[in-house]
Amino acid sequence: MTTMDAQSSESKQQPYWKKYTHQPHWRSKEQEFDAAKIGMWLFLVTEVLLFSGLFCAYAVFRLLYPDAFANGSHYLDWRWGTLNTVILLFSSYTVATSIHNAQMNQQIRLRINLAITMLCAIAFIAIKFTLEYIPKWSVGKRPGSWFSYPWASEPHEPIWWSIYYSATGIHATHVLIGVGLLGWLLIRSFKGHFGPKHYTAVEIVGLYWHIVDLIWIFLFPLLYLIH
Amino acid sequence: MSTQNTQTFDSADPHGYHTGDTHGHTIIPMSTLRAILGALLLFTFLTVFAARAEIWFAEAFNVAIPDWVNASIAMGIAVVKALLVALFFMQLKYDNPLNAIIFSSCLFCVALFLFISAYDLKTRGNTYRWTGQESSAGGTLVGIKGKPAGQNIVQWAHESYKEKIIAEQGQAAWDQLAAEHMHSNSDHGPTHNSPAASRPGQGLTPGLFESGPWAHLPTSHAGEEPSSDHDAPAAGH
Repeated sequence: MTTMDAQSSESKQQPYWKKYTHQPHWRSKEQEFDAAKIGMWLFLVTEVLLFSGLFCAYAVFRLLYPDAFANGSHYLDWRWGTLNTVILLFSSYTVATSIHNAQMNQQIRLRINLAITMLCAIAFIAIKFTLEYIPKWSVGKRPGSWFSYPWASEPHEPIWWSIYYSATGIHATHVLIGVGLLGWLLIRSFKGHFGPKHYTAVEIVGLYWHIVDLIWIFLFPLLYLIH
Repeated sequence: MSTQNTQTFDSADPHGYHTGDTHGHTIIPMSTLRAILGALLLFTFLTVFAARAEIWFAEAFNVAIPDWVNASIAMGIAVVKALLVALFFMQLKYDNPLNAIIFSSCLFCVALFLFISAYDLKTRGNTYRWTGQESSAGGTLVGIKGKPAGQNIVQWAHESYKEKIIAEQGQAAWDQLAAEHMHSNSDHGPTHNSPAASRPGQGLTPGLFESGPWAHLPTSHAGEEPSSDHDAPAAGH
């Protein structure tokens, strides 16, 4: 117990981010940071390729059945889509700001911005489920052979719902994973892990969060606005 | 802030690759971040405004605005927004150029993927003789498990709901319900004229549905109007 107390008082004087050097297999802290970023960018490339399959399916089925997709976008409420877009853009700003805060050693602001980002992610999911998925699913606007909506006027509308649920569903899964990652950052920020000399994790999760935003920037007009 | 960075010689880095090397550590000023957020929100407003204004314009002046106008405005704005996020929030503008090269080569591959797929679809009709045939067997889930054969799933959903309502609440309730929904369906804007208007530009590969669970169904509509099998649900237009 005494050793732990000693450690914690010591770490109050010398926070983790100051003590942290780099893992022994790297030449320097810079090299470690750059390698982590390149690795993250390579992962983001695979994410973009994952979503490009969905975008391609969207393009092909839209070209085949334009009226089904026009009807489909009218079933969605553009106001909820816009609200979710604003929420995600704002959370992208707060996560970019949290990197700035870590670089400037603004510990309190870092925690606040990470918390706001996480709350935005939760709000996005909440709006998606309570105002979009659940009301639509319950009236039979479902993908493929689960479809049972009685008022559809175009025989290919189940295809629209398949595209809608898979694209937004995979995106929402990414948002959920983002909630977890941001929570992890938030806990670490309270332990004083991030500061001007060491903020790799904030930067990396920030990149992930921006790609989630980037995907939504394309999904939003494709699903809600094009008619 | 720079108390730790006084070391000038590192035995693990005798060439001094990393001293003074700060390309990974740009501090983006808050004013830039705020300006980018403002621009992103402005573009979001613009893209929504453009889409709503187009619907209003088409209805007010009763003109049909071609699909590509709406699509290219929306996608153009999305590309600008994506660039802002990638360059400033994701720091590609300030970062090691290797990251930008990785990302743009990925986008090149995505462009190839989308272009070749769309090009194949649009030009298939130039090559094959089944241009313009209806491909309802797969796309409309005719005869899918548990659903009656010969009806597409949209038709099935409508008919089975109608039967249920009439059985439970009578014909009058159904008539009222149908009137309400047909009214709301006509709200879809000027491009939505008739359920028969949707016709795939090209047909699917013939023979695709001639085996498997669809084998017993008629798949070819050669020589007849493709509207014949989907005029049931929205007769109220």
